[in-house]
Amino acid sequence: MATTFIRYRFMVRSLLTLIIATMVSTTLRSQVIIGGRVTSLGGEALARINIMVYLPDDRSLIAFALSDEKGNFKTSVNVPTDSLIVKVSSINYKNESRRVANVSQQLVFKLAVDVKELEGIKVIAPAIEKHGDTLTYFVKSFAHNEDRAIEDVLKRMPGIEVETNGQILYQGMPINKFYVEGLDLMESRYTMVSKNLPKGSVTAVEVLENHQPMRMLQDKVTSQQAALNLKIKKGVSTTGTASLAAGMSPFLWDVNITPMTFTKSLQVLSSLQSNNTGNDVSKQINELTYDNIRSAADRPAEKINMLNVLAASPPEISSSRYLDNHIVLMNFNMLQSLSPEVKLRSNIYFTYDEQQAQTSMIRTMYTPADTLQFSEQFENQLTNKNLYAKFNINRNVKKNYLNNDIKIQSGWDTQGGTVITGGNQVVQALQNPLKSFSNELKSFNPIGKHIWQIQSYFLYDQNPHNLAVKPGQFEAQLNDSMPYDRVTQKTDIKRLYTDNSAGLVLGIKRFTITPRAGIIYQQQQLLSRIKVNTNNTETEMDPAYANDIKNKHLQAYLLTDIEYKTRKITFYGNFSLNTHKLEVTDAKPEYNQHLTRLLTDNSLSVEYRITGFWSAHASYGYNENISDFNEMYSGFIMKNYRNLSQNLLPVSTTRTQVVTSRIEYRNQIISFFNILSYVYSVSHMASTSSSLINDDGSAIITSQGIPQTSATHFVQAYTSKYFSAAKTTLSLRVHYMQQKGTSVVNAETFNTCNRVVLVKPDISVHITPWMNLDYNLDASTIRTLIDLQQKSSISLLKHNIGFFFFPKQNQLFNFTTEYYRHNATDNIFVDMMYRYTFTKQKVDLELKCSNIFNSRSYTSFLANSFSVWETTYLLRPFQVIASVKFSF
Amino acid sequence: MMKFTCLCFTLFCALCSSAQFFKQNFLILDQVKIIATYSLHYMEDSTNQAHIRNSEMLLLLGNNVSQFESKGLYMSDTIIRKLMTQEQVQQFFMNPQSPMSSITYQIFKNYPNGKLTFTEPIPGTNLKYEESLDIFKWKLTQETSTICGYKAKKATCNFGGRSWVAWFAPELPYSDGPYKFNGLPGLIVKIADTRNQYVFELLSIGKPNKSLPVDFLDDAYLVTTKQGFFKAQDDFRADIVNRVKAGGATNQMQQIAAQNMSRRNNPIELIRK
Repeated sequence: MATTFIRYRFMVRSLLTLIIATMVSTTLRSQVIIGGRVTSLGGEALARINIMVYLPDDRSLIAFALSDEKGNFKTSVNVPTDSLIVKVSSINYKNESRRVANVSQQLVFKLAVDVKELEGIKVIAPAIEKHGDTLTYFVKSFAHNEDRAIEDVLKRMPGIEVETNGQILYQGMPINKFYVEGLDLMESRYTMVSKNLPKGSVTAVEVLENHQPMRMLQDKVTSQQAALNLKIKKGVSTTGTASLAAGMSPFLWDVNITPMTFTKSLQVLSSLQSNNTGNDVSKQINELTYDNIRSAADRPAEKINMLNVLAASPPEISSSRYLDNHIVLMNFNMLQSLSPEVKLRSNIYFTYDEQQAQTSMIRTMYTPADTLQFSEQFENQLTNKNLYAKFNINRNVKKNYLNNDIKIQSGWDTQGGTVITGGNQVVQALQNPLKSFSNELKSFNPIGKHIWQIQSYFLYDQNPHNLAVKPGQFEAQLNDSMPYDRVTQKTDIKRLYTDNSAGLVLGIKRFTITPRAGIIYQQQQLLSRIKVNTNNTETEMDPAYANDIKNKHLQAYLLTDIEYKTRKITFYGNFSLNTHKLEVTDAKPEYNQHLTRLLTDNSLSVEYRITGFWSAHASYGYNENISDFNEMYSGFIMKNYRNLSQNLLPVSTTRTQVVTSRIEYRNQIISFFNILSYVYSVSHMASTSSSLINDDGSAIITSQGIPQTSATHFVQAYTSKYFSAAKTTLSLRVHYMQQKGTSVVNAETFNTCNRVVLVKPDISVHITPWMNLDYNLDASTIRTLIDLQQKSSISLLKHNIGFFFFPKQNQLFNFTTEYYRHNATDNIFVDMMYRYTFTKQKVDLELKCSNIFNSRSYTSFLANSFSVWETTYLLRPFQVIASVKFSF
Repeated sequence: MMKFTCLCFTLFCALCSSAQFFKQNFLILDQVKIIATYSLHYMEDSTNQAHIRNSEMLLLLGNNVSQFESKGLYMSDTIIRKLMTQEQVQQFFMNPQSPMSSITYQIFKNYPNGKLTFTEPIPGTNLKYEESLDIFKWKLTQETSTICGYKAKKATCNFGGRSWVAWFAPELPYSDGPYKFNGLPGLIVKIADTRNQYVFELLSIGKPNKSLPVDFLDDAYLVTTKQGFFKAQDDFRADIVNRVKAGGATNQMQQIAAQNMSRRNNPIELIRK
C-alpha cells in the first residue's frame, strides 16, 4: 500500500518535471504554427470543420482549431516532439489524419462527403413528444426523517420542483392537475393538500406526463403539461391546518380551522373561519376564475337591490382598515366518485356576518340658481345570513365532456340604521331575503374532426324587499302633508332567465371559425306597494304608489370574433346581432308595451407594433342596448328614506360609441417608459332622470322624455424613468377627465359638467433590494360646472409616503402615511405594520401591529353630475394581533 | 341608411366567421440533425445554497446552426406554433391557461455567420442581441473521463466572471454545447462553473424521428447589445416595485414581488458591464 503511494508520488513528480521541462523548452523554442485550408473535393471552402493536433502518441490533444467561412484555420503548438498528428473531423465529411513534422506549415485538406451515423446515437423520438407516460415514485425511497408533509418529499423527486408559494412544477412547468386517488378535490388550491398531507399517508406519487384532463381530447390533442396523482395508504386519512390569531383592542380574533379527509371514493374538506378583524372572508365564495367573470358579464345581476338602507359607499382603502365586523364562515366541500367517469362535487357555504359602520356625509347639490347642502350622520348595522350550495356533476368520457353546475342560494339579510339629518332622527329597517336557483350545463361533443359546444343556463330567483322608515317621510305625497309614524315600502321581484346557445369550432386551413348562436328568454314580475301607518292604523296607498308589472323578453343572438395577427399588427373584431321581442303587461293597461328591435354590438381594435420601442393601439365600439327592466315602473317606489322614484317612459334604446387610442414608447434598455392614451365615449339616451328636491334633502325622482347625450373625454399621460446610478425611479402621471350630461332638478333643465385633473409625481428609491422608500404627491382638482358656470372646485394635495424593508425573508416592516389639508383641517393617517414569521416544525408564528398612531377617521370626496359628496369613515383603532398557524 | 349598412356588415361578419388567423414569421435556419438534452442544476439565490433549481434544456443541432433553450419553453412554443392547426386552437379555446417555463432565453449559434443570437423577453418587450461565437479562450488539459458513454476530454475557460470546466467528446464532432459555450473540437457533454452554481450535464442524445426545423421567430424585437440587455435585465430586477406598480399591483403585491426578486440574485454571467 505504502509502496504504491510512493510509486504514485514518484510518477506525479516525474510528470511534473516533464511538464516543467516542456514549459522551459517551449519558452526557448519558437512557436510552431499549423495553418491551412479545408475544402470539399470540388474546392468549395468548408466552414466549422474541427482540426485537432495530437502528440505522436495519438492520444494527447494539444491544440485545435475550427475552420472559418473561407475554410481557413490556424493554431499553434509548443511541444518538443519531432512530429505531430493533425486530424480533421466533422459530421458530413470524411475524417482525415496526417502525421506531419513539427514545423510551421500550411496544410490543405480536400474532404470527401461522408455522412456519418454516429456510434451510440440511436434514433429516438424527441423527448418532447412522449405520450401519456406514468412515472411512479415510491415515497419511502425519497422521504427523509425530517420531512413532514408530502411537499417536502416532492421536492426530492427528480424533475419535480416546489416554488416558495407552493406551486408544483414538473420539468420547469406548472402541473395542470393535482389528484388524490384520481380525484381533483381542491383544483387550483392544491397547496392546502400538498403542504399538509403527512408523508406517512401517501404510498406513491405518480407523474402523469402529457396529461390531457379531457378524455374526449386524449387522442386528438397532446397536452404539454403533467399532472400528479397521490396514492393514499389504506384506510382513512385525515389532516388539516389551523390558524389562530388573537389581539387587541378590543379583543380581536381570527380563527381558521380546515380539516380534510381522503379516501378512494370520498374526499371532504371543510373549514370554519371566524374573525372580527375586518377580514371579509365571505369573498371566498366568489370564485374569480376567468370563465366566471366572462359568463357573469352576459348574465343578469345575482341580486337586485331595489331598496336600500342609505349608507355611504365604501371608501377606496382596504376593508381591513375600516370594516367593523363579526363574521363566521362555515364551508364544506365534498368530492364523490359515482363511477370512474362521473364525479359529484358539493360545496356548501354558510355565512353569518354582522357589520357596523359609522359615517358622516355632506352632500352638496348645484342647480343654475341654487346650492343645496345637506348633512347626514349614519349609524348602520347589517346582518347577513347566507346559505349557498353548489353541486357539480362532471362526466368525462371519450364520447363527450359534460359539466353541470347547480347553485342554490338562500339569504336572510337584514339591515338597520339611524340617520341624523337636519336635527331629525330617522330609523330605517330593511329585510331582503333571497331565494335563488340556477343551473348551468356545458357540453363538448365531437362531430367528425370538429367540436360542438352547447351551453345552457337557467335561473329562477325571488327577491322581496321590505323597508320600514320611522317617522314617515314624504308627508306631502303620502299623508296630506301631515306628520305620521311610519312608512313601509314592499317590493317583490320574481325572475326567470334562460340562455341556451350552441357554438362550433371549425377548422378550414389556417382559418378557425367559431360562430355561436343562442336564445335568451327572460320573464320577470315586479310587485310593489307603499303603506302608511298613523296611530297604529295602516293604510295602503292608491295605485299610483303600487306596481304589478310583467315583462316577457325574448332575445335571439348571433355572435362572432375575428382575430388576425401578423408580426406587427394584431387586429381583433367582435360582432353580434340581437333581435329583441318584448312584451310588458302592466296592471295599469295604459302602460302596456309590445315591441321588436334589431340591435347590434360591435367592436374593432388594432394594435400596431411600430418598432421594438414604439407601439400604437386604437379601437372603436358601437353598442345598442334596451332599457333595464328593473328601472321601469309606472307606480312610485320609495327606494330609500329620501328617494321616491317613478318611471313612466316606454322602453327605449341607448346607443353608445367608444373610441380609444394609445401610443406607447417603452425602452427597457434605458428603463424609460411613456404612455399617452385618450378615450372618448358618447351615449345617446331617450330619457333624462329628473329630481325634485325637497327642503329636507329628500327627492322625488322621475324619468322625463328629454333626450340627452352624455359624453366623456379621458386623457392620460404617464412617464417613468429609472436611474440605475441613483437606484431611483421618477414617474409622473397626469390625467384629465371631463364628463358632460344633462340633468333636470326642480323642473330646471341644465347642462352639467365635471372636470377632474390629477397630477401625480412619484419618487421611489430602492435603497437596497430589500428596502424601498416611496413618496408621491397626489394633486387633484374636482370641478363642477352647471351651464358652464363653475359651482364648486375642490383641490386636494395628498402626500403619501410608503416604506418597507425585509432584512430577512421572514421579517417585514411596512410603513405608510397619508397627509392632506382640507378646509383648514390637517388630516394625517399613519399605518405601520411589522410582521415576524417564525417557522419551525411547521408552526408559523406571526406578530402584526397596525394603525399604530391610532388615526380615527378617513375622508374621501366624490363628484357626479350636479352633486358632490364628502364622506368621513370611522377607522379601526390601533391593533396588535399575534397568530399561530399549524398543521394537524 | 348608416344603420342599415352597419347591420348588414355585422350580419355578414357574424355569418361568415369568427376567424382566428395567426401568421407568425419563422425563419427556417437549418434542419435538426441531432437533439441533445441536458439537465441544468442552478443556484438562483446565492444566499440560499440549499435551494437548487433544475431544468431540462434542449440543444437542437443542425449542420450549420444550433438552437438552445429550455424544454419547457420549446414545448410552450410548440403549442403556439401548433395553434395554426385547428386541434390546437380547440385546446387553447378550452384551456386558456398555457404553461410557462422559468428559463425563457433562446440561443442560436452561427446565426448570423460567426455569431450567436440571444433572445429573451423582459416583461413587455422581446430583446435580442448578437455576440461573437469566438469568445472562449479554451485551455486544454490532458484529463479524460467517460460521460454518458462518450470518452471526454477536459478543457477550462473563464467566461462571464466564472471559471468553467468543460468536458467534450471528440467523437461527437459538433463544436457546440449548452448555453453560449462552443468552440471545442467535440460536443460539450458536461460543463460547470468551479463553484458548482451552474451545472449542465448531457442526459441523452439522439436523432429526431421526423424532420424538425431550427427556426427563429422573426418578431418585433428590440435589438440591443449584450451590455444593453444586461442593463435592461438588472434595471428590471432593481426596479421591480415600480414595474409591478405601473401594472396596478397593490402595496402588498409590490412587497411580495420585491421579496421574490431578491431571491434571483445569481445570474449565469456575473460580469454585467
